[in-house]
Amino acid sequence: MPEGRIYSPGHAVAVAGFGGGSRQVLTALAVLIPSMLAVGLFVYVFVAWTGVISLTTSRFAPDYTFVGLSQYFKLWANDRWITSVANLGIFSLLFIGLTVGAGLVLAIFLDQRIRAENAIRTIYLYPMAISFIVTGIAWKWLLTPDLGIEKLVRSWGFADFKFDWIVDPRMAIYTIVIAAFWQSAGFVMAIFLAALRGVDSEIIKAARIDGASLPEIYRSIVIPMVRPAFLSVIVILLYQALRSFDLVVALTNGGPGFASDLPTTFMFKYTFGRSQLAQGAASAIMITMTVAAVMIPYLYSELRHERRR
Amino acid sequence: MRSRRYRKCSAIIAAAVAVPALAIAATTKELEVMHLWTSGGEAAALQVLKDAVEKEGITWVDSAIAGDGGRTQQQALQARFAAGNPPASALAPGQLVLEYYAQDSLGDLTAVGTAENWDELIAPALQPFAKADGKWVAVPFNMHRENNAYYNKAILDENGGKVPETWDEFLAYLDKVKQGGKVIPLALGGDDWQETEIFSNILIGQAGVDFYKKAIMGLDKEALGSDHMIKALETFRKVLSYADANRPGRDWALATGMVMRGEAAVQFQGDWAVGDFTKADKKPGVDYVCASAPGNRSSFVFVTDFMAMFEQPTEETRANQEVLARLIMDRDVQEQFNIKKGSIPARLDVKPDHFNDCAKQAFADRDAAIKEGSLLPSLVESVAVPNDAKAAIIDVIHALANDASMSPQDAAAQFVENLEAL
Repeated sequence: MPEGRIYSPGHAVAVAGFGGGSRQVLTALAVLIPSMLAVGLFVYVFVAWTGVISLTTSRFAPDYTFVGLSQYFKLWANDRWITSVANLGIFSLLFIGLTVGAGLVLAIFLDQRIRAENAIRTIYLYPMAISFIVTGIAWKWLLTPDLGIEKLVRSWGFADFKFDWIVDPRMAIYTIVIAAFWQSAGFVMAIFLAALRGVDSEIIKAARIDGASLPEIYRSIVIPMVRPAFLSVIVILLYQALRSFDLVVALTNGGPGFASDLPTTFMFKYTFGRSQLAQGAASAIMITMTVAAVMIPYLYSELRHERRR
Repeated sequence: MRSRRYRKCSAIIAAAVAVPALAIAATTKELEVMHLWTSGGEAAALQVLKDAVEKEGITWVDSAIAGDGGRTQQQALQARFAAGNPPASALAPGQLVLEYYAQDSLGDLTAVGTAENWDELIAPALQPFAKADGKWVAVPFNMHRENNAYYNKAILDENGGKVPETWDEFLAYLDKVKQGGKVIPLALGGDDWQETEIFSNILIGQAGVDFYKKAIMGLDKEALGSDHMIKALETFRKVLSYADANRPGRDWALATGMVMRGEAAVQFQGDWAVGDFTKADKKPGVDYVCASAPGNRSSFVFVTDFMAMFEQPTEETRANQEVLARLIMDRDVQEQFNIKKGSIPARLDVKPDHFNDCAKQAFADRDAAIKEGSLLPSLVESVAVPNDAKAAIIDVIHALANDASMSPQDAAAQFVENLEAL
């Protein structure tokens, strides 16, 4: 999950600075400056450039005729954008809810020191190793009625069986939830399992002696103790949901119609498929601002935490 | 000690910067060609040109970018252009040639064009996309015909054996096939462009060539919201109701396969579908029938690949571009290229003798269309209108095709609204 890492040059400088002399600081800076410059240019300068473009009339190529915020008004008057934002809401809520729930349950089951734990853990974690494109295409085949699950169940004799969500505009967005959930649940399980293993077994033993049942122990002691893991998992999943793109492209490509578009696919289609660079830029800025609204409080609390330590 | 280390460091950095710069500077006689032709027939067609270019002593630098029906290549080209590093030559649909020209980025091929008499040899309907302000800036390869229908011959024979000539007859045919209950009447995929091809065929076949010119090519809002349009949209709805429910997400070639295997009766598609029939050893007139879409007999909706030549800094590369341009329009290259590609030549003086039966029909239809002024640019493939206007129309078609709650009246109103919002 390399994309899931939160890159923060400030972190590394602070760590390198600890306990060393000024020479180490210099070395640290020398090592970091190239990547900081690269990130500064390729991330922040381009974010700023996208912001500038979103204020212009650019169509096929950049055109610096400024029109204020009118691209944003146009964006929010566009049904396709509204649909994609609503889809993002549905998708994020269900995806995060299901994945966190299932990941936690799986982790608790695995935490019971069962046999063949390693093998089972690998199986659950395995989908994470597959790229979203592959997941998308595999699920597309599974979900296509005349090819996948529906056909299989019908061939077993259930002639009326119906599972056609992927071709139903009202249900298509839920197929993306299914595929994304399948891909990420094992990863969430691994994080929770690590957190559960970090809980001091003495506390659990003490609770046992006091007569608490296993569900009670998990509900009142263990789960509250792994709260930091919840925060990490939710932030990672939320940000994964916000930037979902390849999965949608491979699974439904936004269809049927525009029923399963997300803001990211909207942005891509408008920028590259339709020569509406400024509209695409405005939607990209909206996505960036949404990500920032999630990430900034998270980073802030993390950094404050670190300083206190 | 430290300073030496730093010096070493800076030498490495300098080398890292300098090496790619050297590599760029050390160009030989070579020419980059960005294209999307990687599948069997396409690659074989391109090889004809490549051989001709290399015979002239120019090294062909291949930038093949396949995917998404050419859109991936267009995106890559747009990105490289925005980064200030366009390839020397790249494939582009007609409207994008004009966009790049408007950005002042295309070179001038007028010297070759005049010497080779392109004014006479290239169909007048193509010239507005290759020639701007009196200068030749791009070269057309071919003319694909978009408004075709491919019928499964056995199913056609079972249901009367006569190719429908009007949309009413066509609907009756679909209905008859449906009554038979054995096969899916209409083979169709889920892409917006597949739906829009059908819509544009209906518009031409039902409302007429002049209406197409006014409403689509002219983006006339009155025409777009008119009763003719609503009627065409109603027919479109009816036609689409004969496709199966599982079409979303289906690739066009899979739909072609359904016609081949007799699972579906008919498909509308550009003549690139002929390549698939041929590959599967299916013969025109025996296994399948290639016909024009109902009411489209005397009109020819063309899809043309243009090679756009981007302005180059060195005289040598410009000379190479001129060689490439001349070879693309060379009579033998045009003939061999188009036989392999499944299209017909952009150059009007190539004889149809060596082409297959479907292509021969296309030659004849094109001649008729030139006479009647019904050689029409394709909406779907970015020839008729710029990308943003095209998207404004296709969005509505795609919504109407997939959203049962939308009425044809809503759709016609939506055309106007979308175009006004641009």
